[in-house]
Amino acid sequence: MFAKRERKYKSTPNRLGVKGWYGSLKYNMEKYLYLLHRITGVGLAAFVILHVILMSSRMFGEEAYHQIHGLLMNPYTDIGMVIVTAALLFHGFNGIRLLLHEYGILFVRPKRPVYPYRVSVKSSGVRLFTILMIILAVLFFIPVLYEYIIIWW
Amino acid sequence: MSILSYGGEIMKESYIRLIQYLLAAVIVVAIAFHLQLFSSLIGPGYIKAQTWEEVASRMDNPFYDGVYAVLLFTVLTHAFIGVRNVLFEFITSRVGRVVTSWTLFIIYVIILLLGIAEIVASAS
Repeated sequence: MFAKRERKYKSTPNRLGVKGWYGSLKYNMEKYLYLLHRITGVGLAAFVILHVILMSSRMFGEEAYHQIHGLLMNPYTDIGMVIVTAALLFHGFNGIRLLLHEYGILFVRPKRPVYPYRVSVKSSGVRLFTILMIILAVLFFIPVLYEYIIIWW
Repeated sequence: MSILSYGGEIMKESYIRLIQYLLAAVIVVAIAFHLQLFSSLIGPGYIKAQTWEEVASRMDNPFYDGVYAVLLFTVLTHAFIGVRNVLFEFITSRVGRVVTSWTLFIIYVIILLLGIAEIVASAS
């Protein structure tokens, strides 16, 4: 399978493109986190651009702000904001994990994968820290849900 | 400029990654100040924070102008570097990467200027 892939991407070694995101998901949890980090990152980037454009209405005064704000006051926006906040929390906590891991803070630095491809993240408490980060993201999401439940109630 | 000219391939990619991580560290702190506004447990809450009175009071507050300025620069830069990284995974030609980098850079500058104009107008 890998030989076929190597031939296909011979001109660009080690670059499977977007296919590489899901092509080896069967290996470990970190691959799923990697995929989610990419998806949430692109989604959040789109949101940030939209957010800056819409919020710039503030500089045109109260009326302009109310016009834009009025357009956004609907249940669909609320659901969208819940998804954006969940994506933000995931991206943030996973980002902290990546930063600490990559620079060897708290844990050993990741190694280049060599045969027989033992996954270094399974040792040294790295996996435990990953799970802790996920739990923290979920815990931080509770007050967010609480806020939206108040609105919807 | 070499970052844009060479698509970051030759020698600058590790610096971009370092910048990306430094920006992320700043964002984690700055975004906490922004998001606490929308929690009624520690701030005004989602509904109240979006009323014009609250928005106007934040616009007059130099602290929030500073927070928004930091957030604008860090989040936008982080976002555009991230999108560039993702796009580079399936744009492999040199020309394609240069075009992608410049296109993103132009969009980045436009959005950044819009945000700066908004913050300056709010502060004045």
